[in-house]
Amino acid sequence: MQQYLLTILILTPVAGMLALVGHSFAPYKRETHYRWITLGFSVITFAVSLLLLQAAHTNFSSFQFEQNVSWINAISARYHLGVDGLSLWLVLLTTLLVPISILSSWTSIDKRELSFYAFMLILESAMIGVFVSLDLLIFYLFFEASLVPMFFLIGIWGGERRIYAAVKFFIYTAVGSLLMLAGIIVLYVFYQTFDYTVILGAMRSGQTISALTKGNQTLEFWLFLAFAFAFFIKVPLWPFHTWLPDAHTEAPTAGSVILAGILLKMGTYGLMRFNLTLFPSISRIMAPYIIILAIIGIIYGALVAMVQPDVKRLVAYSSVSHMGFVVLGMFSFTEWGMQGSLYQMLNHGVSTGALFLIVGMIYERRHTREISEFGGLSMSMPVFSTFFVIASLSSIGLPFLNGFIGEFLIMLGTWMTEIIRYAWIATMLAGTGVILSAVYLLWMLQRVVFGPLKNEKNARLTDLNYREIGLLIPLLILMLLMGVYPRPFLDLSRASVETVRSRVLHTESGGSYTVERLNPQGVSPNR
Amino acid sequence: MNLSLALQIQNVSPDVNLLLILPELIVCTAGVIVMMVDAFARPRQRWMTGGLALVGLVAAMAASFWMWSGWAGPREAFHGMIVLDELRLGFTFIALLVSALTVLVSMVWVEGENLPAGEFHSLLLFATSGMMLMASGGDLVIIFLGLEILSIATYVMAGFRRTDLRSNESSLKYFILGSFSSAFLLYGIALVYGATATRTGLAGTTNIAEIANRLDVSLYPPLLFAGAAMMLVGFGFKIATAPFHVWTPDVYEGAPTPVTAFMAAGPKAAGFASFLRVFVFGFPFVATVASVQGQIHAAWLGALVVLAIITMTIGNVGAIVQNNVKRMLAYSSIAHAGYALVGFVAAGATGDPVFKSEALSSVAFYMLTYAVMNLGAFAVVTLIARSGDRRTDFEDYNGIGFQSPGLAFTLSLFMLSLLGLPLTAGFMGKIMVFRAALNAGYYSLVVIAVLNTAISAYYYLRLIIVMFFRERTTSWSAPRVPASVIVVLIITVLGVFYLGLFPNRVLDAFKTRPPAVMATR
Amino acid sequence: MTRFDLRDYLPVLLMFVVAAGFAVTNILLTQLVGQRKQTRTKLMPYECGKDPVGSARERFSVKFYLIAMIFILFDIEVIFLVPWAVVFKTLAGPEYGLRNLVYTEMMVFVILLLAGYIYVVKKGAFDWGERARHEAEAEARALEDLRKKELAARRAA
Repeated sequence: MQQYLLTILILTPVAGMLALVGHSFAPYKRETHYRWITLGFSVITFAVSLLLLQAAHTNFSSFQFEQNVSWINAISARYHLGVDGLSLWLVLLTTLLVPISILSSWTSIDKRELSFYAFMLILESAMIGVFVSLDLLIFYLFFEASLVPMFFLIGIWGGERRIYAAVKFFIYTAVGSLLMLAGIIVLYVFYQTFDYTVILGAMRSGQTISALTKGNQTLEFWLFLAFAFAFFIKVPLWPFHTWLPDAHTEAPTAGSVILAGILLKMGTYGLMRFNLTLFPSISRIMAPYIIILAIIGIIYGALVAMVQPDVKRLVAYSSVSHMGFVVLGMFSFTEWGMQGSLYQMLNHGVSTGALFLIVGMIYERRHTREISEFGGLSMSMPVFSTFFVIASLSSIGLPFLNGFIGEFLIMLGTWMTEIIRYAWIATMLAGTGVILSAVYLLWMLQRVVFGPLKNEKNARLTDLNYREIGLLIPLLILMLLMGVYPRPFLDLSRASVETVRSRVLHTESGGSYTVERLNPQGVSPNR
Repeated sequence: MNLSLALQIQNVSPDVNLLLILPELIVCTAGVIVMMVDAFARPRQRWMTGGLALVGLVAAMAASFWMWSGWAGPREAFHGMIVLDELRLGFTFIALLVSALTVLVSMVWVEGENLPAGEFHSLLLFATSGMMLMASGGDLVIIFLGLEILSIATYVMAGFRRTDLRSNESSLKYFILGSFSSAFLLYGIALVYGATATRTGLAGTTNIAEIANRLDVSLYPPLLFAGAAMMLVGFGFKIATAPFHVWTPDVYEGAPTPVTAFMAAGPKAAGFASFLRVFVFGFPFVATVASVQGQIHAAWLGALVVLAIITMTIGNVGAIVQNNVKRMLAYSSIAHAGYALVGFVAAGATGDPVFKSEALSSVAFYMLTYAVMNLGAFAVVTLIARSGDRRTDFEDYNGIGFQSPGLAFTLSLFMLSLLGLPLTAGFMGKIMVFRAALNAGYYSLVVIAVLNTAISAYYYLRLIIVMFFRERTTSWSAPRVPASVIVVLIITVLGVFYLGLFPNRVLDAFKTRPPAVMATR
Repeated sequence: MTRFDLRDYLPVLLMFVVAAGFAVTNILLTQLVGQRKQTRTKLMPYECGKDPVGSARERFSVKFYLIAMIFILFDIEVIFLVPWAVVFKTLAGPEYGLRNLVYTEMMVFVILLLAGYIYVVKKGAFDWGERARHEAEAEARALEDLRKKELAARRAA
C-alpha cells in the first residue's frame, strides 16, 4: 500500500475520466451527472493524498512512498516515484485546488461538460505525476502531458481570443520543454540512466558533468540552460512571461485557477528539484543574473498590473510579480529564502487561485471584467466583497495572512544572501514590489468594491450562493492558518530544502537525502 | 578477368533455401491467387479478394514471426542475396502491417467508389512483396528488384481513380520522378560494381558485405564515390529527403487517400531498410580515416547529416503554410524522414556494435511508430474526405470536433503522436532516435531536430484547433464509420499507446543479435 | 589509391568520346557520302508510308495499345525460355545435377505467365467490345450468305 500510494494517487483521476466516458454511454445519462462524478473522484483523490501526511514523522527528509520498478529496459528508464518535503505540499495543493475549481465550474461550464471534466481529471493526474516523479523521463512525460488538457481547456472553453492564447501557451511551453528533453537525453548519455536519484548519486561521488568532460564547464552550462529555459517559461520569469497574461485571461475560471495555482509551480519546483541539485556550480554562477531577472519581473509585473483595465488581466500580471519573488528566494541560497520560496508557491496557489475564483464569480454575473464597469459592489454583494478583500490582502502580504510569511522569509533570505554583492539593494528593490502590489490591488479594490454604486447593473446582482461560499471557505481558512501558524508547513519541508541548499552551496558533499543536516546558516526561521 | 568469372561460375553450387524467403513467397502467391480470384469471381463476390489478401498477409506475418523466434538455420541464402537479421524482420513486419491496415482502410473505399477491388489488392500484395525484398536483400540487385516491384505497383495505385485528373497527375509525376530516381540508383549500382573489381583479378560485386570487404582494394576508388553518391540520390528520392522531396506533396495530395497512407508509411520504410543496409553495412565505419573506406564513410555521413537537417527543416516549414490536410501530412512525412535520418546518421557514425545495433533498431522502431500513427491519421482523413477525396482542406474540418467526437479525438491523438508528445508512440520513437544520435556524439543535430519538433507543433495543433476550437458554419453530417475502419482505428490507437507506454518487447525484438553484424559470407 | 585522381576517369571520358564520335561520324558520313535525288516524294516528311495530310491528332482505338503492350510483355518474358534452353543441358548434366531444380523453376515461371495470360483474357483485353463482335459476326454472316448465293447462282448456271 505504501509503495503504491502515489500510483493510486495518479490513477484515481484517470479512473474518474474512464468513469465519465463510460457514463456517457449509459442510457440514463444526464449532463449534470458528469460534474458529480468528477467532483466525487477529485475529492477521493484529495482524501488519498491526505494519506501522504502519515509519513510526517519522518519529516520528509528522504523520499517517502517510493516506488521504483523498471519501465523500458532498452533505455533503462524506470518508473520511479517518491515524495519529499519539496513536493509534498505541492501535491496536496493540487489535489485541493482541483475539486475547488470543479465546483467553480458547476454552472459556468454549460457546453461539452463531458470533455471539460475529462480534461480536468487528466490534467490533475498529470500534475500530480510531475510532482512525484523521480525519473527524468517520467517527469518529462507528465510535464508535457499536462500541456495538452490545458491547451484544450483554454481553446474550447476560453474567452474571445482563446485560440491565440491557447496556441501561444502551447508553443511557448513546448519549445522550452523540448529543449529540456534534449538536456535529459544528454544526461542519459552520460549516466546511462534517467533516474534522478542515481544521477545525483553519481554526481555526488565526483562524476559530475564537468568532470566527465575533463573539467570543461561548457556542456554543464548548456544543460543548465536547457532545463532552466523550460522552467523559466513555465514560471514565468521575465522576459519569458508574455504567454501568461493571454492564457490566464482567456482561460475559463477553473483553467486560470489551475494554471496559476499549480502549473506555474511546476516551473519553480523543477528549478529547485533539478537545476539546483544537478548543476550546483552553474547555479551559483548564474544566480546573480537570475536574481536580476526575478527583480525585474517583480517590478515590471507590478507596474503593468497597475494599469490593467481588466481585473483578470490584473491578477494575471500580479502572478508574474509574485512568481518573481519565488525565484528570487530560491536563488538566494539561504534557508530562509528557499523555505520562503517554497512557502510562497503555496501562498500564491491559494491567494491567486482565490482571486481568480472571485473574478470568475463576478464575470459569471456580469459577463464583463472591466474595472470601470464596477464600483460599489460592497453594497450589493457584501459577502462577495468580504472574500475579495481578504484574498487581495492575502495576495498583498498583510501580516497574519499567508502572503506575509512567504514574502517576509524571501526578503530576509535575500538580505542575508552571500551569492550576490549589495544584497540589500536587491532586497530593497524587491520590497518595492510588495509596496506596488498593495498599490495595484487596493486601487483595484477601491474601484471595484468600494465607492458609490455608479452602474445600474451592479445594483441588482445576487450575492454568493452556498456553493460559491463553500468553495471559497477552504481557501480562506488556509490563508489564515498559513498566516498565523506556518510551522507545520515549514517543518515538513525544511529537511528537503536544507539538502538542496547544502547541495547547491557545497557541491561535493551535499545533496544526499541520507546525509544529516550540514551547518545550518543560523537558526531556522521558526524557532 | 573472363577466366576468373568462369571460375566463379564453376564453383557455384545451388544455395537455395526457400524457407528463408517464405514470407515473400507467401505474399507473392497470395497476390497471384487474388488476381485469379478476381478474374473468375462475379462482381458480387469481389469482397473475397480483400479477405484473401488479409489471409495472405497474416500468414506471411506468422512466417516472419516464426523466423524471428524459431529460426535455427543459416542466416543467409542464395549466395548472400537474401539475408536474415533483425533489421530485415523488423522492416518486414512494418511492411506487412502497413499493407494489412491499408487493405482494411481501402475495403470500403474500393466498394464505395466502385473501383476494381481485386486489382487493387493484388497490386498491394505485389508492392508488399517488393518492400519485403528490399528489406531482405543482401545484394544490390535484389534491392533494385524489390524497389522496382514496389514502385511499378505503386505508380498504378497512385493513379487508381482513373477518372480523376488529380489522381492521374499524381500517378504520372510519381512515375516519371520515380523512374528517374531508379535510374540514378541503377547507375550507382553499376558504378559500384565496376569500381569493386580488384587488382587481383576479381570481377566487381554487388553483394553488400563483399563491397565492404573490397573497399580498400578497389580498382577505381573515385568511381566508388560516384556510385555511392548516385545511390544516395536514388534512395533519397524514395524516402523523400530534401532536396529530392519535390514530388511528395503533389503525389500524396493527388493519390487516393488510402494509397497515400500506404505510400507514406510503406515504401518509405522499405527505402530506409535498404538505404540503411547498403550504406551502414556496405560502406561501414572504420577507425582509420586515411583509407578509402574511411574517406567514403566520412563522405556519405557528412552528406547525410546535411540532408537530415535540410529535410527536417523543409518538411516542417513547408507543412506550416499548407491548407490541405493531405499536403500537410505529406510535408510532415518529409519531416519524419528527416528525424529518422538522425538515427541513420547515428547508426553510420558509430563503430561500437552495441550502439550501432541500438541505432539501427531505433530507425526501425521509428518507422514502425510512424507507420502506425500515419495510417491511423489517414484512415480518419479517408472517412472525412468522403467519396472522391473532395473534402481534404483544413476548412472542411472546421468545428467537427464535437459533431463526431470519436473521429476527431482519434485524429487529435494521432496528431499529438506525430508531434511527439509523451505517452504516445511518436515520443518513444523520437527518444530512441535522439538517444542514438547523442550516443554517437551528434549534439547539435539533435538540438536542431528538437527545435524542428517545436516548429511542427504549429501545424499539427492547427488541425486540432480547427476541429475543436472553431465553430462550424456550414452543415455537416458525421460519416458512417464502417467496421473495417473501426478495426484499423482500434489497432492504431492501441498501437500508439502500446508503443508509447510499453515499448519493451518491440524494442527487444528489433535489436540485432548479435549486435549489428550483418550476415557475411 | 586514396587520392582523387582525374586520370582515373579517363575510361569514362573515352567512352563518352567514342559514343559521341560514333553518332557524329555517322551523321556526317551520310551527309557527305550519300547520294541525293531530290524528288518530290523524298522531300516529304516521313510518315510511315501515309500521306502527311489532315489532322496529326488522329485517334486510334486504345485496344491497339493494349494489344501492343501485352504482346511486348509476353514476348520479352518468353524470350527467357531461350537462354534457359541453352544452359539446361549443362545444368541438368552430371556435373551439376540440378535437373529438377532448373526444370521446376522454369515451370513455375511458365505457370506464372499462364496465370497472367488467363487474367488478361478474363479481364477482356482481347474482347473488342460487344458491338465490334456483333458487327464482325454480321459481316461474316453476310459474307456467308453472299458465298451461298454465288454458289447457288453458279449451280443454277
